[in-house]
Amino acid sequence: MQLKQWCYFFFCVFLLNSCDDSDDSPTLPEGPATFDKGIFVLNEGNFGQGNSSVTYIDPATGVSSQNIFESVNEIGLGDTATDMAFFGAYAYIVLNVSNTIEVVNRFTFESVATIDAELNNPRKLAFLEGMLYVTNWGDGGDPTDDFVAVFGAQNFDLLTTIPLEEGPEEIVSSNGRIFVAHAGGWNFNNKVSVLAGNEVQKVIEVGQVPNSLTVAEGALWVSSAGLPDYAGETAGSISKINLSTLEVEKSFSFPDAGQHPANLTFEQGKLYYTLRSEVYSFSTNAEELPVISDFPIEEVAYLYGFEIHDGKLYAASANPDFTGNGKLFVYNLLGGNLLNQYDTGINPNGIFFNE
Amino acid sequence: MMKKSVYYLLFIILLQAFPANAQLESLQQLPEVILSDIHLHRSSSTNHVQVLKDSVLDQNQPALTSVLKFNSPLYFRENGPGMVASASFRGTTASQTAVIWNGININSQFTGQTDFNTILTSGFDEVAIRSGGGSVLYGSGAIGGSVHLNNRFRFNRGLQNKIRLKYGSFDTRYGSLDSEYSNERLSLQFAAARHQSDNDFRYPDSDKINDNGDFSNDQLALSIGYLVDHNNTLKFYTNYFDGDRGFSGTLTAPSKSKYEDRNSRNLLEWNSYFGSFKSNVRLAYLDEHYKYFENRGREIFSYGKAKTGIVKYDLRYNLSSKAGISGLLEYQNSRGEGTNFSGINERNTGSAGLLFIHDLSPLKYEVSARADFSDRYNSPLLFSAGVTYAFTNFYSAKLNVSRNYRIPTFNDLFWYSGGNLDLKPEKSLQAELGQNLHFSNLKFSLTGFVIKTEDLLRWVPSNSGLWLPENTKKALNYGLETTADWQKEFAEHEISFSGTYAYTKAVDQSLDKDLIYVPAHKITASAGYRYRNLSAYFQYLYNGQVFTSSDNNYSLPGYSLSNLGISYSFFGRRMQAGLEMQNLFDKAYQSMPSRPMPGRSLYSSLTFKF
Repeated sequence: MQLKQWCYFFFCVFLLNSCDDSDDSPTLPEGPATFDKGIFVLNEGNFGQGNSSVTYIDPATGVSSQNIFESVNEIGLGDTATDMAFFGAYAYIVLNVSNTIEVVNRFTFESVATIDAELNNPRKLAFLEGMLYVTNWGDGGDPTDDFVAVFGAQNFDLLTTIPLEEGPEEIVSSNGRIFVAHAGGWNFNNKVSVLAGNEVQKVIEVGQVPNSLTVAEGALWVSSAGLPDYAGETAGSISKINLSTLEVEKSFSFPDAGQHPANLTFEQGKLYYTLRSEVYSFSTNAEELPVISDFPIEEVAYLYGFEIHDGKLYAASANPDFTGNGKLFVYNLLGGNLLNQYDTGINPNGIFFNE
Repeated sequence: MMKKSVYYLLFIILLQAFPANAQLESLQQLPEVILSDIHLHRSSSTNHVQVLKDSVLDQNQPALTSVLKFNSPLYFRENGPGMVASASFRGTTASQTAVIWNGININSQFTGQTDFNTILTSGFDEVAIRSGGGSVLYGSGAIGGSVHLNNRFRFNRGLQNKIRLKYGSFDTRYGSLDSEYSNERLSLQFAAARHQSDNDFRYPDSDKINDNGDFSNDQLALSIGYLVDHNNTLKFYTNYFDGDRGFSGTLTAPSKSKYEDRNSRNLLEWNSYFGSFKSNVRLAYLDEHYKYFENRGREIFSYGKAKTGIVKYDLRYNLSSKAGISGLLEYQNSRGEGTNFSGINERNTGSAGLLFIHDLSPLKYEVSARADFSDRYNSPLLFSAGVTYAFTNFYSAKLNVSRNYRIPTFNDLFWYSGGNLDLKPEKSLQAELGQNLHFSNLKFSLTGFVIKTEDLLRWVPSNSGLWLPENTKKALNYGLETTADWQKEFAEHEISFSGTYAYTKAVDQSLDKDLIYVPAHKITASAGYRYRNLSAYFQYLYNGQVFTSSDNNYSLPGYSLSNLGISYSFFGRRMQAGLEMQNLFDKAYQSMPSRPMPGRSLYSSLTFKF
């Protein structure tokens, strides 16, 4: 009896070994030793799957290196990267679902620190006077626990948290102040908070769902998407806030409820924005919004990241299934002809220039 | 077990000394008397049906996921032990496997699928896996196949009880009571089970633990069968599941969310026999309710509730002893509400079907068709046609062609941001050819299949950034399934072996890439041995590599797992003590990205029968 039992056991073990797959760890692409003078693309990855990554593109050689954080540090970056910014020699990457900020050396991408204190659903970041400001939703379902966390930018110590209205998203610093756009998180909101000296100095009402901020010639410009169709669709708008008076000085409403502007960016004396996959521009002293687009960005399957830099427009496109690799398309800002395209990681949502 | 109950019924029938003719008639009625899902064994002869034995169900208690994972060709993706688990059958999507409880489709109205970790196998007498299309009989989602959870009634057995207790790694506790009472006309079954675990295992090759993955599940079930007279039987089944679980964190993200499931299922059934007619009326009421807490420490949650009423009528007429025709009528009303819906949404569906079975031994064929009428979608005409031929007494072959569907779910239709009322059902056309070998000790089957699916539902972002479901994709699935069972008894030794192997290729035809989360190869194997009071088993599972992205650039490696169990019976088998080791070789593996599964774990169990 014993013998037979062991025969079966060995039979099964044999079967097991014959089918065993080699579990090699995935081979990491060989990245350049340093990452100066190039473009970082932040790839969000998929919620819950811990597959956020950073792509580095060297425009001189046209070579793109995938997953550089993991290549350098031999651990994954984290879950759902939402923003990246530079301060001194460091780059800071917000990981929304991981509830962390990874700090790396911006030239070598070696990990410097992981900030995880007092973050809850962190979204976007900005710097002011040596401090790091991070917008946090808190619990998405709770409209009352949203805040900005403030850290020392060099020592990563938590300095304070500032409670804010619901859904703080985009954040910029200008003229010694921090401006936070409240898109609303899981809900909708229509405010811009002004922070000075770690206090909320003013809350300014703008259009529904403010989704991008840009500073131009002494003013803060805000694009607001408007409400989506399931919430009683409203047209988007663009507001100009005077940085000295903190008043809305000018506001443009889009004529059609189906128009939801995004990606407002100031470049070389003009303001650019997108409506679906069309790029529009207007001058800072225009009295009306443009009717005709500058050009379409046709190659983009789903516009997920947008930047204008040195006369070029960078549009990051997610794979239509949102599970595969995306692409970065580079267009000439004048005329909109496609100059270059690069492979990225999964769901590229931000483009950052290291120089 | 089935055999035994047949004998008991025979016994009753003989006792009552019916005329000879009535005896024969009653015997033909047996499936209806002991089992509610009359079509699974009677009208599925051209499909492959794999019935899992009691011993198999005992080995892989408590959740349905572990039973099927180790004993069937179904592939599962799990967010961790006890977490959300969805099935893929023949490479189809999670909502293309129907779960059928005593003949009633219980897939969620919201997701169209069943979370296999929210069903405990305690209290079910039979778990069966029916491969291939079954929408004519079982409705939406029976595309890849269906999983059947059945209760059988036994009569004249008095009172019998079984208590099972289990304790093991990660503070996992399980307890169940199965009681049964029957006399000549009445049969009662009651089952209660609780399964809970801290589930805080250390991730292999990491210093992190599985955080916030605790769960606690309770299930209560009651079945009552009553033989009113020899022409009428009444049956009632009820099943209640109450599960609370944290949604566990991952390698790269913490979690503090919680999910609650409260599902109840009720079925009343009346069978009557008159002349050559057999009539079967079923009334079912299903209730599903979930709550999702983003932060388990707070009382803020989102929820969904759906209530479904089903009326089914099945009238069979025996044209002769060899041929029968059945008419099937069904009406279903579902109402759903919740945080993500505005108001109460409703769906009404009616269907009418015809089924013809003709037994011309050694040839047998079945033809059936069904038409659906709904206020929410336009259904294709469903059909199934199959033939089986017994070439010899040990070799038979089957051929089956069918058209099946999966209807849009409440989420697809009514989700507050994106629900689309213009959706069509997913449609599939499939063919399979099976061969069976059946010797006294050995059973072997080999089935090849092709499934072509169109109008696959997929949530895609629209231009305005809103996600909307659309009927966009086409898929082609093909592959092979084999099952093998062998057993031998000699002297006081009992040896058994069973195994399954599935080869599956599923192609997204719009991208010309493999569908995600479909392993090309899946193998299960188990060997059992018994000598007097000692028994032991070994189980093996291999899941091949799966792609996790539609561009096939990302994948999870394949893995193999082994379990080993040993038990000893005392006091004339009234008590049994067992030890079980899962993931014997301490393999590190992931069923979903960033979610490591546990390494080696140990469980002990005690079973009492009285």
